Order: sequence, then C-alpha cells, then structure tokens
Amino acid sequence: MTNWETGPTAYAGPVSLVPPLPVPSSRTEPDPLRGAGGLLWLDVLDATIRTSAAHGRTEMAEWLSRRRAQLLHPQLRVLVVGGAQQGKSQLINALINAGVCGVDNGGTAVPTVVRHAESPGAELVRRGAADADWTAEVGRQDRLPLGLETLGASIMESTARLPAGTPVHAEVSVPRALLAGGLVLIDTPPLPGPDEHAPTPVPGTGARAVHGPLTHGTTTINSVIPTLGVGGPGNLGGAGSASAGNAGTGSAGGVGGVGAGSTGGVGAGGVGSTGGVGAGSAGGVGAGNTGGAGAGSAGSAGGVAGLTDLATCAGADLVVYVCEGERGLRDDELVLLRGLSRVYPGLLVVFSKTDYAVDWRRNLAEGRARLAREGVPAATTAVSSALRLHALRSGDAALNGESGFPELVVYLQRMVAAKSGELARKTVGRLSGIVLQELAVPLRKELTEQRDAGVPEAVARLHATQRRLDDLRKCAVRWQNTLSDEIGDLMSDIEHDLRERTRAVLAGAEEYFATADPAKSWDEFEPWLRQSLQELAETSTNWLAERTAWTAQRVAGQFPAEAGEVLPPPALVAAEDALDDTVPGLGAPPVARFSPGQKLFIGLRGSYGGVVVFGLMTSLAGMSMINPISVSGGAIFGGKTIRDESRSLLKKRQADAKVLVGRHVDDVFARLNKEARDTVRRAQRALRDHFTAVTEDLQESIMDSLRNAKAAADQDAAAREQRLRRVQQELAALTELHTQAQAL
Amino acid sequence: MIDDEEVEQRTHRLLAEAAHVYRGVPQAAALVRALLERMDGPLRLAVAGPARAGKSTLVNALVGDGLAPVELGGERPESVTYRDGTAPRAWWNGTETPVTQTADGLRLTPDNRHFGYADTPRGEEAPDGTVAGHGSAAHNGTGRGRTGHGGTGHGGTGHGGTGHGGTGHGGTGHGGTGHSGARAVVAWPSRVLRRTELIDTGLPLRRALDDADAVLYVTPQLGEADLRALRSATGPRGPWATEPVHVMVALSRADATGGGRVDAMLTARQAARRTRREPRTAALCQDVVAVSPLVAAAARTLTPDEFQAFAVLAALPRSESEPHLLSTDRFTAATALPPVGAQRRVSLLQRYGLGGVRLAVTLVRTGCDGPAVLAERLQEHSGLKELQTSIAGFFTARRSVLRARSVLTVLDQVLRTHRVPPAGQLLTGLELLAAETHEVRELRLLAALRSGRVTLPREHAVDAHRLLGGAGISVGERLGVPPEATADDSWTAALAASERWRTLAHGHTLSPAPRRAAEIVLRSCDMIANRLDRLATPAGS
Repeated sequence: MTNWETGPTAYAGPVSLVPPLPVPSSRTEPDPLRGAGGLLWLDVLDATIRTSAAHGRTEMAEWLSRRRAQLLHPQLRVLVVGGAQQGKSQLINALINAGVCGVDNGGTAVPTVVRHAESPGAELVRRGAADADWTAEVGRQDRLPLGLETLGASIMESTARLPAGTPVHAEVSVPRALLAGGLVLIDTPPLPGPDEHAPTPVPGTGARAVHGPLTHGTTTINSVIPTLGVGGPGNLGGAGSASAGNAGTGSAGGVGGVGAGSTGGVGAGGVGSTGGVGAGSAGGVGAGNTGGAGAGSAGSAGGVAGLTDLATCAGADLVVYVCEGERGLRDDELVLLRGLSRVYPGLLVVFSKTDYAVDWRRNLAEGRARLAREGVPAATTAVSSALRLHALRSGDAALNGESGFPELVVYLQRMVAAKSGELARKTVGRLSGIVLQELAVPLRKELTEQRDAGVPEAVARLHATQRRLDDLRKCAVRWQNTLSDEIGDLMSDIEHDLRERTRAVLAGAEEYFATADPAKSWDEFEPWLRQSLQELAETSTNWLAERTAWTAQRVAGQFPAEAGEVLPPPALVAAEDALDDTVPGLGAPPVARFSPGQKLFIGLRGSYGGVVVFGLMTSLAGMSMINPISVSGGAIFGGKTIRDESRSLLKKRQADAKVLVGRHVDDVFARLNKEARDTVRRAQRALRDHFTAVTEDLQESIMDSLRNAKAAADQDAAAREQRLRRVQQELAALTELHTQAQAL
Repeated sequence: MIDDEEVEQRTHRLLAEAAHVYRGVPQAAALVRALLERMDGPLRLAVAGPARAGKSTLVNALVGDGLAPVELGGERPESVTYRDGTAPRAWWNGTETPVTQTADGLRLTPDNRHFGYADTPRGEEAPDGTVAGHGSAAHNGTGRGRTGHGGTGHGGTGHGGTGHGGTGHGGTGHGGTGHSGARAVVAWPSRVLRRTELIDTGLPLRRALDDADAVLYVTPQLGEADLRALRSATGPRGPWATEPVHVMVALSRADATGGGRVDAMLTARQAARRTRREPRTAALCQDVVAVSPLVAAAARTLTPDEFQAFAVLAALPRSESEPHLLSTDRFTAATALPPVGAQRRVSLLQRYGLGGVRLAVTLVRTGCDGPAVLAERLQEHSGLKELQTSIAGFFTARRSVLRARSVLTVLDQVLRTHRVPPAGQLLTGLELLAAETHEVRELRLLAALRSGRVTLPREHAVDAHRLLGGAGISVGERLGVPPEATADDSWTAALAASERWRTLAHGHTLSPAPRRAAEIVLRSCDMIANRLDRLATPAGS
C-alpha cells in the first residue's frame, strides 16, 4: 500500500489480519470523526471486505482491497479497450494530441499507460507477475527507459530483449493540461475477436495449462465473480424473506449459473498472448450462460473475465470501449459490455472513425438502442480521431467540434471530478452488490439443500435401527415356530423310516427262512441279520444327523442377513453316540431234532399200514399176508411217512425261527426308535438354546446402536437448527449490507 | 512424378473402382457417383469468412457485376453458388425462381411454385429441382445429376448449356451434408465463372469446404479466431488434407487502413506481405492478399458518370476540395462541393467509400484521363488484380489437382466409413496417389517463394518459378520455349533444366532450405520430361 492511502480510513494492518467476526456485523456505524455521510461508500466497502474475509473468501477480500486502493487514489485511470483495428491507440493520441501510442505497426502489442508529468518521459515497466498491480512500485532494475522519439520501435526492441511472456507495460508521461487533473489513459492490446467459426471451446484444462504460470499467485477475479456477464443480476432483495425464515427461494435463481460458472472454465476468449497482460485465466464461463448467444457469447464471456482481470490489474476506474462506427455492436460485444458494466459504472462506448464510416449515425443510434434494450448502463459517443488530429494540426475549432472529442473530454473531466464522489459510490455499490450476492450463493444453496435434503442421515439411521429391532422380534417368533415344526416332522419321519427299514429286514428274514433250514443255516443267517440291523441303525443315525443339520440351517435362515453367521457349531447337532454296539446277537432257536431212531420208529409205524393194506389185497389173490408186494408197499409207506414227518419238523423249525427273528427285530426297533427320539429331543434343546442366545446377542447390539442413533439424531437436529439460524442471520446481514450498498 | 493429367486419370480410375466396390452400398455409391460428377465441373471456389467481412462485395468484384447479395423476400441464403450460364437464372433450395438484378444485388421473386415446394421434404423436392435445373439442358444426359445426390436440392442446375462437355454437372455436394438454411444457385453469363464457380457462403470454413475445392477466406484482420478457423480447413483429414494448397486469405479492409489515407492500400499491401511471410500464417494458406472489395467492386462497374464526377472533383483546387474529403459528413454535406450534386456524392460514397473517393480523385489528378484507365488503376490499387493473379495461379490453373484433392479427401472419408474388404486396397491406392502427386509440393514451394520464406539465388528464382508452373502449367510455359518450338527443342530445354537443377540440388552451393526447394524443382523437371515422353510416344507408335 502506498503512502497516499494511509489516512483515517485505511486499515491498521493487512487485510488478512482483520479479525473475522463470528457473525459479520453489517451495520456500519458512521464514524463521527468523518464527515457526516461523506465517505459512506468506504464504510460499506470496508464492511463488505470484512464480510467476505469472514466468509472465508479471501480472494474476494483481496480483490476488493485492490479496488479500494484504486478508489482512494486521486488519479482516474481510464482503460481503453476494444477489438483489433478499432482505433484505440489513435483515440488516445488524438485525445492528448501526441503520438504516444503506436498506430501503424499492426496493433498495440504492449499496453501503454499515459499520464501527466512536467517533462515527457517513457519507460517500460516489468511486473513481477502477470496479475501484479500496475500501480505497485517496482524496482529500478524493472524500469527500462524508452526513447521518446521512436516509442514504438523502442518498445519492440526492449520487449524483444526480455524473455517471451514477461508481463510488461509501458508508462509514458506527457505534459498535458487534460491529464494534469489526474486523468490516466491506458491503451491496451486488442481483444480477441468473435469466434464464430470455432464453436468448440478450448477445454478448460488446456486453457489452464497455457495460462498456468500466469495464474500462479493470487486468485484472479474470474474466480471471484463468476457470475460476471451472464445471467441477470440476482436480486438480493429476495434475501429479505430469508431473514424471515423463508430462506429466499426465489432469489436463488436470480444468481443463476453461479456454481457452474466457477467450475467450468472455458478459455476460448482469453487475452492469450498479449504480452502477458492479465491473461490470468480466461475461464469462468459456465453452464449459466445457456441463455446467452451460444458459443460466441461463451467466448466473449470468457473475454469478460479476462478483461476484468486486466482492468483490475491495470487499476482502472473507468473503461472506455472503442468500436468502429462502421459497424454496429455485435452480440458478443454486448455480452462483454454487460459484464463490464456490472463492475465498472461510467462505462463509455465510443464509436470511432466517424470520419470514414458512412452510416455511423445509424450505427450509433442502433448501438444506443440495443444497449438500452439489453439494460446495459453505458454512455455512448462517437468520435473521429483523424478529424481531431487534423483540427489540432490546423487549429480548426469547427473541425474539432465535428470530431466529437469535446464531448468525450467533458465526459472524462466530469468523471475525474466524480471520481471520489459519485463514481466511487456507484462503483462500491456494484462491487458490493456482486460480492454480496456471490457470498449469499453458498448460504442460499445450503438453505435450499437443507430444505430439500428431507430426513437427515442421523434420523434415517435411527429409523433403520428401529426397523431392524422390529425385524428381529418377528424373526424370533418365526424361528421358534420353524424349529418346533421341523422337530415334529423329524420325529414322525424318523419313526416311519425306522419302521420301514425294520420291516424290510423282517421281510428279508422271512424270505430266507421260507426255504432255508434254521437248524442247518443259522450260522449263516445270524451274521446277516446282525449286519442288516447294524446298517439300519447307522443309516438312520446318519439321516438323523443330516436332518438335524438341515433343520438348524432352516432355522438359521429365518434370521436377517445382517445377523451374520448364526449356524450352531456342527458338534451341537451331531448324534452323540453311534448305535454300533446296540444290536445284540441272536441265539439259535431250539431245534427239534430228528434222530435215526425216531426215523426208524416212524418209518416202521408208517410201513405197518402199507404191509397190512397190500397184504390184505394180495391175500385176496391168495397170497400170504407177508409177501414181497406187501413188504415193498410197506416200505413205500414207511418212506413216505418219514419224509412227511421230517418236512413238518422243518416247517416247525422255520416258524420258530421266524417268530424269534420277529421278536428280536421288534426289540431292536423299539430301542432304536427310543434312541432316535432322544437324540432329536437333545438336538432340539441344543438348537433352541443356541438360537435363543443368538437372538439375545443381536437384540442387545441393535439396542445399543438404537441408543447411539437416537443420540446422534438429537445432536444432528440441534446442530442443523443452529446452522440454519446462523445461515439465516448471515443472509440477513448480507441483505442489509446489500441494501446499504444499493442505496449509495 | 506424375502430372495433373495423370492425377486426373488416376483419380477417375480410383473413383470408378470405388463405384464398382460400392455398387451394393447405395449410400456410398451415391456419394461416389456425386464425386465422379464433381470431377468434371469447373473449380468451385468458396468465398468464406466472418460476417460483414466483405464476402459478397468481393464476389461482385471478382465477377465484375452487382450480383451479391442474393435475397428472397428479405431473406438471405446460407450460401449462394454463382456459376456460368447462358441466361440469368436462379434456384432457391432447388426450385427455380425468377430473378431480377437491382442496384443492391439480385432479388429472387417468390412465386407460387416456390412456396408450393417450400414445405415439401427435400427428397421430394429433388426431382423437380432437377427437372427445373435442366430445362434448357435436357440433352446433356443429366440424369446422373439426379441420382448423384439423393434428394438434395438444386440438382444439375442447367449448367450443361454452357459448353462444358455436356457433363451434366450439378451442385452435388449440397446434398449429403443435410444442413438447414437456404441455399441458392445463380447461373449468370460471365467469363470469370466459366472456369471457376464462386460460392458465397456464410457457413463456417470447415463446412464450406464440404462443397468447395478451394476457399478464399475473407477477413478484415487475421486474428486468432481466423487462424483457428483456418486450422480447421487442413489437418488430419486423410492424406490429401495436410497441405493448405486450397486456402487463400484476403484481408478485406485495405481501403480503411490507417484511417483511409490515399496510401492506405500500399500500407495494407505491406502488412499483407508481412503476414504472408509469418510462419504460422504461411502454414495455413497459400497466399495472403490485401484487397478492398468495395473499391474493387465499384471499379469493376465504374460508369462514365462516376468518372465525370471524379474528374470534376479532381479539377477543383486542392484547398477547396480537401476539407470536404476529410470526413463522410463533410463530403455529403448539402453545401459542400457544389459542382457535384449531393445525391451523386452520396451514391459515390456508398459505392466507393471515402477511401475509394479519395483514391479515385487522386488517380484522376495524376493522369487517369478516361473511365477505362481509372477503372484499371482503381482495380490495381484495390488489390483486385493481385488477388485475381493469385487465384489464377494458385487455384484456376491447378484446378485439376485441387478438384482431385477435394474429391479424394471425400473418397478417403467414404472408404474409411464404409469398410468393405476391397476398400483397403483403394485406400492404399489413394495414399500412393497422394504421395506421388507432385503438384501439391510445387504449389507450396511457389507460395513459399512468393512470400519469401524460401529464397533462391536471383538467377535461379525466375527459372524455378517458371519450371514450377508459376507462369503457366503447360510444358512449353514451364520450359519457357516458344509455342512454335519443336519437340526436340523442348527436349533440349527440359534436359538442360534437369541438369541445371540436379547440380543445384545435389551440389553444396545452397543452404539446406533452398536445396530442398531445388530438389522439388528437379522433380518438376522430371515431371516435364515424363510428360514430353508421353507426348512423344503416341506420335511414334
């Protein structure tokens, strides 16, 4: 900060050290030491700076501080901008009647600052960074003297010696009464033209990469006021309703395209390679520009950002836009002018070259009408530099009048006079308006988000936990039912199964004994029976184990997924002991023996009948009772009787064996059945205990999280409430400050 | 090295093969047929550039008649094609429309027919457009014109009547692009349009090039945006698109340079020369010419009355006339310059601009004593002559190569889009042709020599210029032998030139850049020799 700034109105320290207030006080009490109402704009500006610092927007605070320094400066710095070959340099030359700005060598390459001094002089100033203030002091080694006579060539030569891209500008001092009042004219390189033929914007990243070294350092205004030039000015009056608790819905749209603007950089319209002049970053054209004139305006809106950066760096108070009188204002120029007029009141559009243009009057009128229609508050005038220069050479006052310059001079002088008064007031009004709107955007967004957010996360979590608890309760009933059902099924199934299997064994045994003689083949039969029963016992045990495990799974399936792995350990459901030695052996049944004596006896008994019958029959034939025929008949009868007897004995033995086996198998069945039932009961009990424990565990953990969630939800609600109140307070404060700024 | 004739033949062959390959793909086949027709027409030169750059005025200046702008009921078409014709006729979106010439360009009068077809889909419109277009040229077998561009608009717009070999050339390229926006075609009897048809287009350069073989980019100043646009005209679009042999830049505010002083044109010409030499401009175009379309167009149509007015103004003492030439207001003020009526002065200003008036008065004062002389000198000063020479040398003389270039660029796209097995082979052939076409390199070298980017020793520079075809591309013109010279003379000259340039190209007397240039000239010599060889062979056999 330079010495002329230190006064009663200056900060005691750097901006960043201004202690931020928790809730920025927007009310600026008039300082009784200052003249009443004299510098109210300064108070508003200071309050705005404080507010933006308090909102953490240091880049804005810094930008405003720069503008503040400019506003307090006694000089009026006029930035002359425009497209290529529009007569900017010639305008300045004609204004001060001196050939200080090169007009014949293919456009201005180095910006030139023209100011008053008692003796003429010129030097090239090398700035430390592209976005450094032009008004800042630079060291002697950064001031390269230039030859006054051949200014253009001298500038070229000096620039060529510097590394390419060094940010430089020329400072020319000339003794002129017009400039003595504090008027400083700044000639600039041409703005890039409209980009009709390349509608594809350069990707933001590319532009950044190009301008990377230049943007280093302080943030450029582009990021400070992304709304610049696009969308209508948001009406902060909407924030009035915000203070009333209604959160300012309508005004959120008023600053449309802001968020997008600050992120989507489009570098198409940057000031590219203009000797490093404020080319900072040409982005800042966002989706908010959709209402504009398409790609063309996107490029020029990028131009707005670049141009505003340039103007800030150059310390401009006033911008003069030069446009050929031969053509009207183009759409992209209108976008540019609208953007400029938002930051620079007193914007002047000069239609130049009226000596050469045929239709300049019509173009001027059209331009005026269009500006008025678009709501761009810009003054317009038409001049002819050639006529002015000619008039000055020939001393022709009438020609000077025709050139239109007297009006321009009067306007500039009026602006010099109004610099610390009306101009400053208006400037501050606009700057504060922009910054405050920008500050209000995140707040509004927060409000909207809160309103639109619906149920906050903590509450949602609470609800979810409650739902989980309910689920668990239902699940408890469900799994118990499942368990008892399954166990019932299992019991009946296992009994039925055992019965089927034993019946099969019995059938096998009966079949066996239908032919086999137990007396002879018992030793063969007994191991088979034992084996069969053993297998049966094993099978049913295995089956039981499987069914139990399956039941456990079914029951576990009733639990919600979040309960995790709830299956009982396998040992719990396994049958406790195998039934391997539970099948006893079976002794042989008592056997009715058929000894040879008995056989003889029975044979004799049977043969008796035969001998008698045949003996009688043969005796009729006159033969003796005992004859060979009767003897052989007796033998036949005896044999038959023996055979019958032995068969009936076999039958008896078989029946005995069957009865014995049947009884044995029944015994085994009863035991197996009993054991199976016991096993099932045991398993049921084990499962029930296990799942009850699991349920209790789950319930406990859910209750825990429920308590946590409840606490969190309560806390969250409180925090939100508090935040909401604070946001509303801040918005109200901003609104009040904005109202003050607008009233300036 | 192959010359333009061979390029043309091979292009034809490639197209024929492509037509054969794509006989089963209707879309591609239609495109290829359109390309085949395009090969036969005149060079199509698009005049493109930003709005209000003076494109239409420049078209008027080139044609030498007040044709542009074309309007129909206050509406201006997106692009207007001006071509040669036996009688003035015009088509609006393919529908023939009566046309009248006014002081401010052509006016098409909508009739019922126009409106009747305005709402019909383009596909239905095309047959009518074709029929209308060939009303006078039905004998030319122009059925192809219709099939060539499926449902476009102005199919084969009566071009055949002008003695172009009955090719039935049509506005082919307009169809495939499918843009909205009106397109107009004007047939106008003009010698200028016979070899070069002009397309005055407001389309972006890249789209303008879809229809054109070459482009004249008109812009007040060559800014960044213009350079970007020019960059879009070349670039990676197939082997034929890398060199900007089809682009020329006209800086159209020559008369207003430095406030429109009398020496404005001179300053502008110097600036153009500087721009031409700048490497980044040179890489994007063949030539940069400063021109004042307004003065040029007015000079082409200078009337004796106007000359009379200028003569009266010039006869006034300087002290009396000069204050009134300071500004437009003063010049048109009712009380100023009583010898010439205010009305006439306003019309002079409208037609010539203040710079043009100043220039004309100065020229009359310095000895232009007749309308013809004044018109000639004005055309010279306005840069029109230079522009015409450039167009003739770089574009019209090389139209076969440029046409092949644009056609093959499109064919390249077609081959890449519609992939069929034989397409790969055709692509190879296409690339081979691109590599063998020497004239592209010749043109680039000519441009480099002209702009001074490459300098050859003085005695060789003229020789190189001639051999490269800068003074005409026939063998005789290239060799600098008189037309009546015998084949042997030509042979001798060709061999001598070859020898000369072989020494230069392979010797060590030149620095690298000129040596590369010498190699290109040497190849031109080879090409000439080939040509002579071919000329001689049929005679011998």
